[in-house]
Amino acid sequence: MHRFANPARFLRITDAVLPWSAALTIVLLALGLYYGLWASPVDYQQGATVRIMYIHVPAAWMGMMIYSLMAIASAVALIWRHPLADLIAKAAAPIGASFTFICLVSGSLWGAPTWGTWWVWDARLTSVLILFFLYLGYIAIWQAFDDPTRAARAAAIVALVGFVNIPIIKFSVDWWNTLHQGESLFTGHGSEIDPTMLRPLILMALAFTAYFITVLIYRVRAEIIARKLRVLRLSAIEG
Amino acid sequence: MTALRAFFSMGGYAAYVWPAFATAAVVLSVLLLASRRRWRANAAALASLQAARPGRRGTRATPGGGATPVAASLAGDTAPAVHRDA
Amino acid sequence: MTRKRRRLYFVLAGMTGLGVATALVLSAFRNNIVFFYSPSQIVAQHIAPGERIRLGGLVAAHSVVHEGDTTLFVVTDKARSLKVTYTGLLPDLFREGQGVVAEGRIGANGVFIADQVLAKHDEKYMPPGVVAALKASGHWQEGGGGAAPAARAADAAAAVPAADAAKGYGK
Repeated sequence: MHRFANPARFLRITDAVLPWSAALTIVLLALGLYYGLWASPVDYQQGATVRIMYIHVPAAWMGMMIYSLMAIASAVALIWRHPLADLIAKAAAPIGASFTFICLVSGSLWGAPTWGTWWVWDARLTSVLILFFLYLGYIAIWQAFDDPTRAARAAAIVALVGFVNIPIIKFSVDWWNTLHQGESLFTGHGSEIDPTMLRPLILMALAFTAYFITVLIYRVRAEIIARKLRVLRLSAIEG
Repeated sequence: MTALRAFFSMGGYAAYVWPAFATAAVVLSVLLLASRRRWRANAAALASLQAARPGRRGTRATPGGGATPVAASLAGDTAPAVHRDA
Repeated sequence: MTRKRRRLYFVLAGMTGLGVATALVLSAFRNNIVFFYSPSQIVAQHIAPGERIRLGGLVAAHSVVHEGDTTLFVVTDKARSLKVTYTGLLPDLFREGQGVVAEGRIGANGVFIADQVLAKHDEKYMPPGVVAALKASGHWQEGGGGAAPAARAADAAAAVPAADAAKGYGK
């Protein structure tokens, strides 16, 4: 009974959250796109390419934030055997991979006109590419095992091991000289981004977060039902 | 009109700015739709499986319009019968 | 309860060990992960003419000369500087006072022959109007720009060789 008590509470809570997160995603996205594409100035150096930042930077934050969440959920699953933690980590992985992919593609489209190259193997770009492959590896491990309990344990260990990459991404621009520029927002002496440009950046980051919560709820629910289906079908076979 | 043309030209960087936004739009839309479709499909499969065993729970998993997946999954979770079967 | 406690310690110990191992590996590779060398590093590490490297720094003010398709400019890290010649298209952010990374080799005459030039942009984002206002009020600093006290791009380029010298790199 205990194993199903928590998912039931999860479903009740997310039932209340889902309409709000979905509505927030739409409103924040509309505002973010309005300010990001229209009602904000171009940059004094790079002109309109600065608008790519409103996709690129929030997507990068999401990629790192979602992986950190997966690592925490994996630790909870390994230590306390919480029945939902594995499912949350599993459900979050494709969302994180999608944001990391968006980050890589938009960064490439930003670098081409401004830096003069689509890609370089500097520490920041390489560590983000590794993050993308970690997501793919994590997803692949869930597919590789027939027994979901063993798959969950192997995937959780991979998520925890890959977590060392997150601080490397964050501090790569400080530890090594890279083509990628340094931190703009949390510099120790305030933001280096003009308030008119900070507004769409924050709005898009909040919109992506609301989107993540919405899609995560869909995916965790699908996982909970899939687990229940498995139990039912097994019991049907046994008679 | 000229303002609109300037908007779409993105100061000459249209070939970089618009694909970046388009990539994000396509990837996020596909993921959202795929996730929701899988949830609904799983919920429907569960509802039909439970309907096929009327003695236990056929009455409680009755479909009810747009909210079917929520209702079905909730009904499935609060009932202990499923767990005891395992 | 004890099993949970044991698993908790196991995960914590594993993560700590992994973190320490990664930190050691990264510090061992610190020199190999550099994307570019500053002019001071090139001098300090005795990089031979003909060796392929990337040179990074700021494009010195008033140093850019166009001769047809060829561009001549000076890359500086405030301590040392190097002349660069490059034939080809320059990226949009190539400006005097801005960061640049040039890939190529040092020629026999000591001039760096670049076959690729990448612009490195700083972490400042602001509209042209704000820049004009800062310039009018005298708070603008070329190279780093903006109201921030230090020119960070210049600092970043200059700080690396200083730190390396202190640690005895380039021996």
